[in-house]
Amino acid sequence: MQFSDTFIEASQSMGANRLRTGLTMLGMIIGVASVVLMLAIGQGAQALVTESIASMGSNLFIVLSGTSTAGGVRMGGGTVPTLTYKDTMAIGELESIAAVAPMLPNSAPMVYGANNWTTQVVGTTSEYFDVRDWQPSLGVVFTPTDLRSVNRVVLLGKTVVSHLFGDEDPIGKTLRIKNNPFTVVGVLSSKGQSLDGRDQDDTALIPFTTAQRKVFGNQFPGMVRYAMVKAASAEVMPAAEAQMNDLLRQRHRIRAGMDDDFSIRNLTALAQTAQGATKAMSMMLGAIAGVSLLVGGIGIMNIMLVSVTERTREIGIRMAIGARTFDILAQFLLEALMISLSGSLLGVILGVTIAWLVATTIGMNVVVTLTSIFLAFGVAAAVGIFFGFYPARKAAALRPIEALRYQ
Amino acid sequence: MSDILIQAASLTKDYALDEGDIVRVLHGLDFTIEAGEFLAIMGPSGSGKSTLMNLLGCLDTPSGGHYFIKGEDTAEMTPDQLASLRSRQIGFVFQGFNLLPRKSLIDNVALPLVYSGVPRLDRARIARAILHEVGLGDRLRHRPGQLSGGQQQRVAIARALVNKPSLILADEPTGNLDTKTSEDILALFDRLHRQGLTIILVTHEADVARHADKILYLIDGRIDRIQVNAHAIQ
Repeated sequence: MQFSDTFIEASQSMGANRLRTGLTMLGMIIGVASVVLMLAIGQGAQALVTESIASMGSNLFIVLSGTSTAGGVRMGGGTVPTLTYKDTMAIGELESIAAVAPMLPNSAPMVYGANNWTTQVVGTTSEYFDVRDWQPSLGVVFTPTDLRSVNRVVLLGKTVVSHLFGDEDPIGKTLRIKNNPFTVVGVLSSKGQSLDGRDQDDTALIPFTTAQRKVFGNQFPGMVRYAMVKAASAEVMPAAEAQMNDLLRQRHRIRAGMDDDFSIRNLTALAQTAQGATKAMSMMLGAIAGVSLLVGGIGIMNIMLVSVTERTREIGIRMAIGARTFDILAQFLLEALMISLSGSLLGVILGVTIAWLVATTIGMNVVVTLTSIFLAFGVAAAVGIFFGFYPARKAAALRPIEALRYQ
Repeated sequence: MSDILIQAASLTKDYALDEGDIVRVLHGLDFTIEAGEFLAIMGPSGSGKSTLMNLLGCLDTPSGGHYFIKGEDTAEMTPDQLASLRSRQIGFVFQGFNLLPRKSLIDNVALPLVYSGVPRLDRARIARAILHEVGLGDRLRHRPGQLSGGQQQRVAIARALVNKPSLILADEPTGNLDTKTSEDILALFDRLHRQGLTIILVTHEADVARHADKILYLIDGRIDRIQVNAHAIQ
């Protein structure tokens, strides 16, 4: 018997019981659609987290200056100017540290022509771009010379550019920050939202020295609000944390037994937790969807068993006129496979459609990958063969005389 | 015509009952059938007619002895070898017609060709020709349910003939038909016999058996006698 004949037989028998075939297929459709959808949602969440983590930079610490106590009220991190520019330079000398950026942020109004916009203006050094893995999409970053010479240059985030310049090219233009004229030397590439939903592109970067001496002023010269520190690698992070701790205690002359006047936060740990949680979530979603695929497969087996029983006499006739065991096996197996494959095809279409609807209507981040489609398809085919085999085997093993006698 | 088509040698068939007892249904049959013969097998119910029919049709294998069809011994054959033998050598006609109700007449008739590997275009041509031969050439696309019993049996005969078998096995082919239609079907068998086809017909009706050259009487699993009909002697 040729394959095309087996195919015709299988499709005729599927067509003969349309409602039943359709309902069986529905099991597969729902199973595959849910696998595709759940994987899309899970991968969407993972992509979002990975993107946020990547935008933050990798192997990061934040070193904050200490807390102050005023009349028994503890004022919180960063309220005492204990962390200095020199501290950050000393941290940079450590072997386990790749880069350090002192941070002096302050909210400041910016004016260009008729437009104004108030944003977080950050005084920092050129190492900031290494720490954050952040490069300008236009222009250049500021240089150590800019720092030494206390130059009034600024790099702008995308959001600031759109508010102040619109479609105009900002490079080389002069704008005012707190009434000081600054030349725009670069525009930062877009980072999007941070993990906590802040717009990372709503920022302006100026040299640390300029911020200190010309824009914000400071009653404590050399003071740094916080420092962003990038470790040389993920492996040395614990060592880096211990070394920074020792170094700062020593530099701040803190005796044993006394509290630190600074704090070190490991940002990677947070990222790893977030990543682990989304991964667990997407695996759980996938597993739940997998169960519905399994249920669909059992539905196929159920229907195929009914079909074999119902068509026992037909099988007997086919055997009497020359069908071999394999012909019968192939016919029923192909029927199961066709139900599961066409079911999964419709399921993929349904799953992708729902994923698209979810993405467009409620704005959820979903990622449909070819891999997840092939995975769902492959699993469905395997389910079809696996659950189709037993009924097909049962049909093929019938003895012709008994099958013919069956009423 | 003296070619031996079928030879049975001490052919026995046992059935195991649920209680573990073994019942012998056929007790060592010996007979030969020559190519071109028209044989009727008669006997009361329970005499082993159907069992013998299953063995002759290669639907079952003997418990003892040998059954040769065109020199091939079926005793040791696997189910697939038997299937292939059925496909090449035997055409079945059943009491209940056993057509596939969802298929058109032409598809029903062509089905054995599917299993014997004939290309699609040839199948349709052969099936159409044979349906013409049995007088149903104008109803190729009808379903079996749209036909009368006699017409369905003609389709079944067409299906039996389609692979050009050596042997037609008919099990009570007129059992479900009225007298007039029965005569038409038997006339068709007579015609096929005149064309040189070997036919074995199982029946319990003497009127039907009269059409055959020889009648084999089976009683309690043994051959009681083989009688040659008068018209065959002439």
